[in-house]
Amino acid sequence: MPDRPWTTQRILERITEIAAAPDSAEVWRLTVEALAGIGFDRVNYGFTRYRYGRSIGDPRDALFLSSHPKETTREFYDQGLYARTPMFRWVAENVGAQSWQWARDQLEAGSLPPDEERALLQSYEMGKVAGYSLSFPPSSERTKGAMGLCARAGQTQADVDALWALDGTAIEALCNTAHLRLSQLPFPLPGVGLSDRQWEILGWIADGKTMQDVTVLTGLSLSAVEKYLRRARDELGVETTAQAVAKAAFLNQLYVRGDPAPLDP
Amino acid sequence: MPIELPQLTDAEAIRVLNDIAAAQTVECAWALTVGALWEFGFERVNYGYTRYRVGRSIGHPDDAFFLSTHSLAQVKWFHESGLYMKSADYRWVRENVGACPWDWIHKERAAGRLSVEECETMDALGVSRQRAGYSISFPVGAPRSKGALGMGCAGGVSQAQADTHWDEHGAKIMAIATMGHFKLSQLPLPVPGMHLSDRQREILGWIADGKTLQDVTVLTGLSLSTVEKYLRRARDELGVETTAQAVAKAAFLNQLFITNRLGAGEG
Repeated sequence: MPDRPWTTQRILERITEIAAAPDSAEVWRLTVEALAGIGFDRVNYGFTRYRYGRSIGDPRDALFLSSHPKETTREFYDQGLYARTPMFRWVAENVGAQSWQWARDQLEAGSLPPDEERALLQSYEMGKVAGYSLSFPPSSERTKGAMGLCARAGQTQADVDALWALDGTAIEALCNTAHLRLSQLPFPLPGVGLSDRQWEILGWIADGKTMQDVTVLTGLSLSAVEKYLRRARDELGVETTAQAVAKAAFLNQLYVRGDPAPLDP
Repeated sequence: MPIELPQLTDAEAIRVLNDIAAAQTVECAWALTVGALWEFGFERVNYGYTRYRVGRSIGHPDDAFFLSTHSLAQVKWFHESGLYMKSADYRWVRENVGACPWDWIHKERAAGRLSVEECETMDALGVSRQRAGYSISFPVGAPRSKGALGMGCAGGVSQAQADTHWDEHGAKIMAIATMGHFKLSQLPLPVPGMHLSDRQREILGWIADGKTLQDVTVLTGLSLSTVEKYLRRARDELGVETTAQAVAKAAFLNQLFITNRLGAGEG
């Protein structure tokens, strides 16, 4: 019998903690800690609101979190190898949980396309031998969230499948909670640096103010307001102001800073 | 003989959590959440969610989303009349995160800690607040958003009895209510009286994707005046002034780029 330090009750308590975590970093810390205790010491999470078919859209618009050691996986990610693994395809096409045995079976049957076979063998070399993939139920066509749970070294897929038979539904519930909390909180935006003034003006525009209104509300000239919005669009990597508003809303970043109508304490 | 309060086992609660997480529509997420809370002895459930908090209020009540197992009209009236703003329960929800037993307000009043206005509001609401139950104020996600849920036991259950039940099963009940909130607030929200047509939603989607009006005419094969007409109707339907505001609101209501029409219509 596998060792089970994380009882169902303890997982339930952790679910409640994850659901109440104040920011995405804390959600991730609580999730990674629990999964490591359960037996998955390397975990990846990805979430995009900009999915087009099998593409995840611009990777900079997606949220990636990983507890894999960076130095050993950089190559795997930078070269996009992860996107060629059979489990990535499974996640894109399905919802639910799948044992990595699924990929192993196809490899042994010789039914994988050559690039998927190469990517899978390389992931084995990197020690990603046994685990599970989770594909979360989407809330719209464009969103997709998924998680890869890699079992600690020394575990075989048979060990992991036995663990999953006991605790799989509780692990899924934990990961579902983490995913839904992460998709509700402001996304971290590495490399995107909007000033408070830019956020404020974007907030006014999202609130239905015209450019003319914004000049009155802020005391800025029209050309200054236009300049702030142009820089905000550049930072967010979008073409139009409406697109900037949509993106900021999708990333739960509107009104995080520079809220033009702050709440009473 | 006190009424026995029922419960789900840990394993059953976990299964329910995953079922709620997999719900594809608001109706389904609500039915599963209510069903699971009923299994713990909570017979009456109300839920409210807003993306438009402003100042101390929930924003315009038309922009908020309410569900109730028993008295949706009463829940809506409570918010549309503005009475909620004067209630101590709302103050608690606004200032706290977590679960609050329904006898809290009685104890606060007995201790003289409610304002005159809060006492008057309590009296105006009268006997409807005599049940045992809990209010849950959910942890805030996106700015300006807030979700809360109230759940009441059957008549005859005392708050002390509910509290004992909560001590033992509160973590499960809380996890189920929170999962319900997560799904309800992330699925396309049916806002009553607000109905975007497929064409309107498609054009708003193009605009949210950064297309100009000119682009949209090419993408849809419609004339510029027709595209403008669709957008004007979409703004009217959403009750907003500008197209950028329409995009923000459609995004907040999870109405952009939705998979199917279920749950996208009227509530």
